[in-house]
Amino acid sequence: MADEKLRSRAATGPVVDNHGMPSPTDPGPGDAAPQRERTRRVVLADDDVLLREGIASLLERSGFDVVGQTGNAVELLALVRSARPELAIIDIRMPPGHATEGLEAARVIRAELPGTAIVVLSAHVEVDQAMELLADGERTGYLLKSRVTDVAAFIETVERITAGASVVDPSLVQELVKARRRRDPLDVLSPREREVLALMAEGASNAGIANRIVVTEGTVEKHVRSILTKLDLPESGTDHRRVLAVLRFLEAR
Amino acid sequence: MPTRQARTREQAIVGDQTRQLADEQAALRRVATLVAHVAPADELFAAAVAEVGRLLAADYARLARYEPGDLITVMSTWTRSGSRLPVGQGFPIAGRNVSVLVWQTGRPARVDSFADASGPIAAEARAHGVRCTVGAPIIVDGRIWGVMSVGAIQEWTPPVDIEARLASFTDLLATAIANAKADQELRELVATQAALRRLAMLVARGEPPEAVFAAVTREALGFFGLGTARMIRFERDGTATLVANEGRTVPDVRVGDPWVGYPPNGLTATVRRTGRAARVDDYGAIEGGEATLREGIRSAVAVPIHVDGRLWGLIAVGPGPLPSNLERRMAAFTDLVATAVANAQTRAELIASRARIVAAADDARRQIERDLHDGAQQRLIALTLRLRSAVAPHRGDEASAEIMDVAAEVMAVTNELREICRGIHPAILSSQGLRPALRSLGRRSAIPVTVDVRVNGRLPEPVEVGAYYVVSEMLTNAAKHARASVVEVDAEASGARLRVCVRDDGVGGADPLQGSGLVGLKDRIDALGGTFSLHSPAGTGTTVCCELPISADAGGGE
Repeated sequence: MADEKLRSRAATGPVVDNHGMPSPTDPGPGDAAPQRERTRRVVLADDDVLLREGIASLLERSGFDVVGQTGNAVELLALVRSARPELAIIDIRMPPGHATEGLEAARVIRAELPGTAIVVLSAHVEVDQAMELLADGERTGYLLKSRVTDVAAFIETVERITAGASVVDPSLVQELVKARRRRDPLDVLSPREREVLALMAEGASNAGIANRIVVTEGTVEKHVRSILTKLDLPESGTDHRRVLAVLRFLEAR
Repeated sequence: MPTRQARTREQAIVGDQTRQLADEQAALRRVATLVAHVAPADELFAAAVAEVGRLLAADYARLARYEPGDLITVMSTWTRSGSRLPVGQGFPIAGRNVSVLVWQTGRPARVDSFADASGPIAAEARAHGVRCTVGAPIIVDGRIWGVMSVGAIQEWTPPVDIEARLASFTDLLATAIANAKADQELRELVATQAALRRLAMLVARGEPPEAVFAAVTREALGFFGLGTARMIRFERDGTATLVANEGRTVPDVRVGDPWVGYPPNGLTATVRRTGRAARVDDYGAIEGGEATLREGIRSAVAVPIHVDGRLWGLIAVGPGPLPSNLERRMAAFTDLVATAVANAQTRAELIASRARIVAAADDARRQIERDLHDGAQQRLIALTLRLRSAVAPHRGDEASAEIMDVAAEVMAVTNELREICRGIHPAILSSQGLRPALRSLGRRSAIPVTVDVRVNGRLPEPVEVGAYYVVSEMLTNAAKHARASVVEVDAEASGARLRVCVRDDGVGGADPLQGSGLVGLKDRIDALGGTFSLHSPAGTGTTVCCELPISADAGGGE
């Protein structure tokens, strides 16, 4: 069945259709922009057919080529192995157990095809799952399922992930940042620094942060250095490592 | 015609008889006084044999008791010379001698010459130079209890009416023994009733079955005064479990573990096979008895425990002097054990059924959460997606604006539904376990919460859910009513229990009777066979601690 689906999709040929493409709000260097001309191939796994078709059509309209769809984790692995997509979008809860099958599948894909970008969608976002997922590798997204309805932002996020970023759902970051602590290490940060820290945790690059809070990238760099010093966090080589470090810090605080 | 001499002789005889009668009355009176004062048995027996020996001008007198298993035990002896004969020694009732004759006939008997006597008792008598013996039975409650015998080493002509004169003493002794027996039985009855009362209180207090088993075993140990008492339960699959061990020695098996490696003809195997009491006199002499012997138990007795007509298990005591009636006395005692076990079992069944009801409700909630998640939530998301996809971006017309508004509303409903789902059943608990779930609860609290969870791996679902709801409810209370500034959540699994404590520094004064969620929490913890304690004095914060047994069939009893 998976192969059939794959064939039927392949038969329609790559859909290059840029109409409705939102203008990305985070066009920093190394982000999505340079990849836009090329069609990115996607495999989609969700057991809710209606929603899956909705996401598929959204992706196709936004310039992605949906090369395979499935409703369970076993078929997903088969599809990914044969189609070698740039991106896999995976529902965390699928048959047969309706537990964390999507997470398991993501782990297998990471191990076998580390270059594949992975977006895991979940009805609830939990910090342990986020860290688990991110610890396995780069190009990882962990998002609330309802994010797909914010069409423009969703596509922008998926493009950033495909281009190499790692993204964590803002609601999870907010839960972590807002958690009240008696002696809160975050108290040493200024309100602006807190804002920057949250964006770091969501996976934004310095350029992306600069764009969001409307300051120069240089200013963001200054904030970041100050935050790292104040919280005694190590300089991390990549944005992905930075996300993981900040999440760990926020969770453990 | 009677001569003067003859008269004198006659008078002398009458005088002798009178004196003899007076002596006998005096001796009987002395023994009777002891009986009336309820003197200890050994004192009474010693006095009786001495009086009888002196009165009948014998060289020795002896009182012995017939025991089950065709044994006779010497209880007390007297000798004219003052030399001591062994007491407490048991002989088989065999051969031809006074003890055997009395045993067989239930009447007085005499052996005039030990030349034709036989059997171990006669051999012993011969060894002491005994020539002639006369014995009379001691009949207690219509049954032959023992024998009083007198004998001579020197030339001795027993008085012609010696049987009747012995009988005066044995009748008196029989009365004393019957009284003492009744007294002993009364004492045992009182002790037994006291034990029952203590056990019944344990059961009524709702102590867990294990505690009741331990208490019952302790009572047995105290009651029979032996070194060790243990209770073993027979499981339906043919195995056995050591449910309690009390006393001086400890077996290789731990309490609660399968009772294995017992001798094929030991107490456990025999009681299970026969459903009756069993005893082992020497573990050194039976196959596979080495471990028990190593433990320091040479002999032991076990009686079955029948609960509701089923052979439930056994209770065993040992080592030590094991009186022949120990089984009978223990059997009376195990009836109480059975009552306690049956009550504990009934309670365990009640707890199990409550646990099942709670589990069924939790299952239903989990199912509802899943249905909402897989059904309504997904549909709403798909619907929102469709609405938003239907509108070309940046189109300013009124219809598009209206559609976008509706989409936003639907999205808001979806988010609301997600929060409702979380309240119905926390998905994070099922997928991630107690620690992440409690930490997530802590992060969402309106007041600072420190969460310390020391639990390795996953616990049975009812235990996780129970602990989660306790913390969830207490955090809500702390934020809503307690005006607390900080809450500490502490959970630790150690051994077979999970202990969860939630402390706040608020105003205290929480009252479970004032309709808060506390009663529901307590019920839930009770249903899991756990304990729930609330400490909330006004002004010094509220502390709730609960302990839950961690077992696959949490609270499910057997």
